[in-house]
Amino acid sequence: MFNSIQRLWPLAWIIFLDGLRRHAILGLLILAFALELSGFLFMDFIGHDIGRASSDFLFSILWIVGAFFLFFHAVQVISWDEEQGVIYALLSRAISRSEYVIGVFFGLTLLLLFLQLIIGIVALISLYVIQSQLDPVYFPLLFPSHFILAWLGLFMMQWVVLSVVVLFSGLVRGGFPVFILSLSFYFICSGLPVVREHLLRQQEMGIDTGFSPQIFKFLSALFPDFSRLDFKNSVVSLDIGMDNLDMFLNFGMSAVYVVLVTFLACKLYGRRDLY
Amino acid sequence: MNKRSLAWPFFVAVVVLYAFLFNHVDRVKEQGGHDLQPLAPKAFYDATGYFKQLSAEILFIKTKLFLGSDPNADRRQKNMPVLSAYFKQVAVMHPLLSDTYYMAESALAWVSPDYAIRANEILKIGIQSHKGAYFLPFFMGFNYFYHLQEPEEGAKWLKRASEYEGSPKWFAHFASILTARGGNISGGLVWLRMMLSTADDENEKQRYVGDIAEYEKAMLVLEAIEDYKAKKKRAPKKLEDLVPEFLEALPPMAGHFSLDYHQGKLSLR
Repeated sequence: MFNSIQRLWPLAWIIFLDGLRRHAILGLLILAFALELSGFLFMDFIGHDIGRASSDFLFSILWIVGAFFLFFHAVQVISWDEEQGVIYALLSRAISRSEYVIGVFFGLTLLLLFLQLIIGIVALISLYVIQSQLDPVYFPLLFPSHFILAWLGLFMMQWVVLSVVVLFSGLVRGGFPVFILSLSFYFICSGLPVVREHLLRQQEMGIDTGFSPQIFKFLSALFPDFSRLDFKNSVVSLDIGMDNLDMFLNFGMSAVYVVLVTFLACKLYGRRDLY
Repeated sequence: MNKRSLAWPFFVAVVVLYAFLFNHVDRVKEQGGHDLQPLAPKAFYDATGYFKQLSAEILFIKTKLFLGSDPNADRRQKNMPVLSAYFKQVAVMHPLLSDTYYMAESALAWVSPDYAIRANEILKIGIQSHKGAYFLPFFMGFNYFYHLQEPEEGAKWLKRASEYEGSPKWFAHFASILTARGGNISGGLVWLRMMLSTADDENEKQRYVGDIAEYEKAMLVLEAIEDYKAKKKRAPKKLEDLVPEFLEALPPMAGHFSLDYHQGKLSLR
């Protein structure tokens, strides 16, 4: 295992450096800072709950920037290696296909972590600056521990999407199909809880829904409900809105999901025809 | 003249034409005023996922922009149903955003009793999520008392507001007055006595003592009415009918209190 790590770590590092070289991170950081500046204009429209609105806005920026990274950079990494022939050079150096997939995944994880860390730190500092300029009634509470929890929740969501991007990259050729599949995955994850809730209400009203609730429950296992990792509201609130056990279970379940999907990605890529 | 020498004048002419058309279209749009666009289907907002709170805040800003454009009475009336729907959607999507409730209360409750009811529906969403925000039940209580003419219902919500940590002390006092105004004089009296027992400030105690004295006078009249009903098997037509058999004289009410007797029900105004 240690030998595997020794082999895939240079690949992960190459992916990380390549992302920096392509200015993926630089461009996204500039976008993030520009959006954060525009936030000060946005805050002018909120008369009372400025702390909450600021926190929502900054975390939404974190999500937008992460989504741009995932859907415009990460979806193309494996297809670039295939198109440019780099994949053959890598696989000829006694690195297995599984190690290649894991290496790419960890490289992209490093990039995502780097991006989100920088923007996250700036976001937290921004919140403190905003709070210091306002009367306490407009921004009474700010908990750095809850901010970190919300940041971790967001990172975990994006990590799940990243694992699915890598899975689709191993499944189909070309960046654009991977982009479409990954975006569809995200929209299904967002829309499925709404459908499930609708079915639940119908059941409560006594309407026969057949096997639909069970089917959608199974689908929810495949397309996770990201709202379980959304702790944005807790940043300026006393409680996190969930008990600790539920919170750990949600994070644990997401981590297991990432492991499963990455394993599947490795197996699929191992069987794929690269020519 | 060759084509190259015509190119730049042509470009300048097109720019001027565009500027003229833009100016005209923009002026027409500004004069027309802004109506609120109807909301998208509910499922659209439910599926906004991680952007739910930001989407709610953007919808809220749209209501602020509409109200801030100072629409005339006709345009405001025309957009009221949509405005009410916007506030409700924002409250459902982001129940923790306080601004929604302040804005809904100021924009809706004063329009008509029907819109006061809608404002209360929106406030109820906030009360379920916003633990400890005393202004929400206070607004509800005020709406019931002032806009809907239901002082007893108003008193219930004000009492609830008074139980929230940090709420102003006069909430409870106001609730007791509304209770009596709704016809529940004995309930209001019990409450006032409880507030007197827990008051620290001397001025506050004196105010409660004064109010209790007035409530006790009203209680005498109430007891006289009950005695009248027991003997004559009907309620008196007016308070003066109680004198002198059941009451020596109608007690003079001091301060801002007055007895109000209507259709067999005594209340303290």
